[in-house]
Amino acid sequence: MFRDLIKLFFAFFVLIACFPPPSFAWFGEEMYLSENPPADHGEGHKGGHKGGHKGGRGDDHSEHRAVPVKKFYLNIHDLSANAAAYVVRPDGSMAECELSHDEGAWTVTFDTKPMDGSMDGIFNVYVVDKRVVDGTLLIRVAKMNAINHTCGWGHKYKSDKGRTMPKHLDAIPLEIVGHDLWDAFVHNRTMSGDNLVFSVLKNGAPVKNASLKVRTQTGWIKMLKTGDDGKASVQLIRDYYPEKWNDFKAMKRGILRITAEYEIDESGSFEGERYNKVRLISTLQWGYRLHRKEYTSYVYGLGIGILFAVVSGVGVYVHRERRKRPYREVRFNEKD
Amino acid sequence: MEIERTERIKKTTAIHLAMEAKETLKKITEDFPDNPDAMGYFYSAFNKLYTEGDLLDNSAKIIGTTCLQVPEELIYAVGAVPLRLCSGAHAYDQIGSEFMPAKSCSLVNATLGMLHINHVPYKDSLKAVVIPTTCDQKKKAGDMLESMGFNIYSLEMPSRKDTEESRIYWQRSLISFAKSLEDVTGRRITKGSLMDAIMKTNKARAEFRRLYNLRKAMPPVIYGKDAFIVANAYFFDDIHTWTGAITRLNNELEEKAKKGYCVVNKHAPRILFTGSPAIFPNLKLPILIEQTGGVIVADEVCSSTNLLYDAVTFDEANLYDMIPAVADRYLKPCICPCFVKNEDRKRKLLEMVKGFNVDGVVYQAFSGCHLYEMEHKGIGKALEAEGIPMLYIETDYSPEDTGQLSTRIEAFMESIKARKRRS
Amino acid sequence: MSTGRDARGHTERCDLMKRIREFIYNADINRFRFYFQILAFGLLVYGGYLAIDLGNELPTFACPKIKSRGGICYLYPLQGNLSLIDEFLGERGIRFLTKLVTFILLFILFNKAWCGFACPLGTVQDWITKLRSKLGTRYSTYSEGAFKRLKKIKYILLVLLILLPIGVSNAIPDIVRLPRDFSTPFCDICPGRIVLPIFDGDITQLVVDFRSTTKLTLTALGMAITGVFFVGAFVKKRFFCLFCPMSALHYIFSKIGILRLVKDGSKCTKCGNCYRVCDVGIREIADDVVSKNIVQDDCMMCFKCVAACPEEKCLDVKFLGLPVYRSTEDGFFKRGGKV
Repeated sequence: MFRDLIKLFFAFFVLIACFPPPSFAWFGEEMYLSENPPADHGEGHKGGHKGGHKGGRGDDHSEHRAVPVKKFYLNIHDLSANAAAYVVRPDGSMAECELSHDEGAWTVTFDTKPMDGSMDGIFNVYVVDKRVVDGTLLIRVAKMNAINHTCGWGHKYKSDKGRTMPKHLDAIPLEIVGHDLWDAFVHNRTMSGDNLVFSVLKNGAPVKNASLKVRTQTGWIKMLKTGDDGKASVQLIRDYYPEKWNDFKAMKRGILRITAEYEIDESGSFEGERYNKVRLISTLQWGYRLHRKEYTSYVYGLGIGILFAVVSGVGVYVHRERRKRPYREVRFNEKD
Repeated sequence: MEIERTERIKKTTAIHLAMEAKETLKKITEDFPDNPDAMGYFYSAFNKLYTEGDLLDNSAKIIGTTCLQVPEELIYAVGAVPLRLCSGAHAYDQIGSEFMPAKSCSLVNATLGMLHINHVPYKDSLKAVVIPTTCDQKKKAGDMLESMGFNIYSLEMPSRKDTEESRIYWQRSLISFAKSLEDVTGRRITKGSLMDAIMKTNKARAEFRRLYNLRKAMPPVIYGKDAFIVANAYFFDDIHTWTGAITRLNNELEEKAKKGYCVVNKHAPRILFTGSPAIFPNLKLPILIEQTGGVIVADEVCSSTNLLYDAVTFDEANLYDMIPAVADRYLKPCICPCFVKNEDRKRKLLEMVKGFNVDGVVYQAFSGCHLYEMEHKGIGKALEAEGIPMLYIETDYSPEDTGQLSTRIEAFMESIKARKRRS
Repeated sequence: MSTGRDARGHTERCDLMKRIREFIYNADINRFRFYFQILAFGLLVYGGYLAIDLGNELPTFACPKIKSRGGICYLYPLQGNLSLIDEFLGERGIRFLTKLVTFILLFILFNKAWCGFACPLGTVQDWITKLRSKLGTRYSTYSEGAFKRLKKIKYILLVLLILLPIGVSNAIPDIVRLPRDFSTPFCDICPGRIVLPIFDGDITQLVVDFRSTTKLTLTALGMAITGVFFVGAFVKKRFFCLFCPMSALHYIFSKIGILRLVKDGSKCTKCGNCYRVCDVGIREIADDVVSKNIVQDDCMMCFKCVAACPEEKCLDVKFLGLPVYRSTEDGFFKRGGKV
């Protein structure tokens, strides 16, 4: 009996060694950037507001008010010494950024100056971390599309494709580019029910057959594979169903986390260690909310409009018909 | 016997009337030098009417009117022709005074007298006589005419014109009038016919304004007596012919003005004539004034300026807008003293004094006309405050007081001339 | 009336000036206004397609909800800014003041002619009026008493659209703290927001928004008002203008306008033509013979009254003191009495 158990264990390990489980199990290594410190990941609401954001203004992050300094947090604590952070400005130039460890987390900080509207658009923030683990070069990339926009600046770049189209950086080993995540007015327009399309790029070139996981914080996961053009698409679910109508917040944002994974059989050495496989894991974090048509009603709207129009129309008509009779006298109050 | 007597009176009155008209025309044309050529038409029109008695087209439906508040646009719109019946003939005045009270207005006497002996062109064509309820004597004249067999329509006028109720009342009154006009003539008022009528009358008024403005010229290019003749012709003349004639007159006067022509010497006192209307052949006072060296450059009487000055304007070319527009034109700018609160008359007179560079005002009131008589004090005070002298004359149609009046008028002219010399 | 002739050139120049003036004064201002309104409508509603942006401080309706707009009505940023009034110490406050000053400057340039010539909602109402006129339906007017009572509503709306956003802000947290959905209360009930985007093919404003009680009430009220708006605009000329808070805001600064409408009361015969053609129904234009500046709080400076006045130089439209358009006898009679 005991020997059988040991045989079983041995067989299991041999099995594992010969037939490694699908790569999905390694997704726990993903590194992502978020607006909040890693302690309270998941909900992403109040508490710990940074960057000039006043409390109590509502529970959505103000994408409509620019802040001079942006700070993003990494979820991992084991960042390699060679990790690098890149920030691409809306006009395509690179920005200075600081990758540091403070307040118990790794942060990327950069400023969005000048605050006069010339930097109106999307900042791409990247962190690239490389290390060799068990003969595999593990390259982790975290990406964030940060909106820098105040409606007060106007929307003068709305016809400028260079500003409104999503950018990518050729230097990044594996990058996820989300299409149509924001509109020409630089507002987040991702809503439940939208068809999300992502491209996976390796150093700027589309990657075929990369694995893509789309996940919401409520636990919905979709596994995709990119096609020949490096793109994969999925329809985003609706998952916001508050108990009571009073608790309903139309602007409530859910968090969407997209992870891409790709493996290459390549040998080499990195920082003195040899590897014979390269694993690239890249993440992108974004927000989504409920589609407007879920809480607005044309039926009620037009119904009320038509009702009032008809009532006032009939009222005017009746009034005019009654006026055809002789002039009405002024009435006196008969009470004593 | 009665019929014989009536026939005799008819004949004698006709003769008297013709004599009166001839005499007035003689004074107008011969006592003054250099009458405009275009005036020839008007002189002969009056000549024909009073001596030959035949001017109007027999086929037209005629609606007789008294007072200028009767909207002629509505009458034209139903295919009829308005005929102002107010008479200025002393011959008729004498007829009327036989059955009218002693202290009654000459004008009403004359009108009643004229209608009483049927001395009106085509009395049978008078489908109706419209009398607005303006002054007492006109109102009761309506009753008397009805007993004489005329078809009278009393057009209800409000006593005030500044309140909303009076405006609505008058609009309703006119709407009923329009409806009964349709019944009388058998034709409906349509958008097109009313629009045509408004355009016709506005055109006539536009030409009158030209004449009005030409009279502002310094020195004057036309005598007041001629202006009265022109305006009085409007009572009975076909509107197209009249408009054509006045256009010719205006053109002639414009030419004369360009050349610096003056009809009277530069120092002649410029007079504003106001009050009870001067109607041909009773142009006694205007002729006297101009014979003594003055010139009437402006007038504010219901037989001349007040009749033709204001114009109709409307927003939408539909009956629901045009008929109230016509109503408004006859009520709101009307400065007839039959209205309570007649501040507008004072303002208008003062504005005319300024615009025409008037030196003095002659205020005529017919004896028995309480309305004009009671207003003269207020007007006099207002004019005095502006430094304009006013001569108040109470008279009637009879030529007996001509001598006395001419003395007063001469004295008035002299005082004005002296004033001008001093200043 | 003869004019002295000095140098020939001088007379010719005078002649040309005179002829230009005559042409303008005799012109049919209504026709001109009709075409100008179409141009302004195109600019404000479709200007975005040509990348035209006239700014965010326009003194006329130009709804930000229209995607292809050519500018934004000032009431929108006004309410938005007021809902953040507690942040006014500092840059935000300065920005607010700059916006306010820009609005005032733009406004006094054309005074209330913004309403009569530029406002797209006014243009829509004028089109509806033309339709009614073609159909031959009678229009309605307010009685004097009703008019006096109803004109106060726009001041109430103006006060509300200023106070409610302030209530949203942190300015007086202990006394009142309104939900954020009250940030732009007038925009939610404005018929311009609902009607104008339809011209760009956008019917998404025709909804009732259920996200909160506030939003629900406001959008429902907005749809109700739009329903009444269509019927009202059909029977009454420029129905909404009597209730417009932008008009009330205008009137505060109207006295210093550069474009003016002045009346010479001594020339007025009280014929009432001006009152009778006035779309809004202002009595003072006819009854007041004392005041010089005759623009009332409801006036939209469409100048129909000037075209309808038969007295020479009684009503003058002045820009920087020079008469641009005036009532003339010639002009009136040439137009034949039709405004």
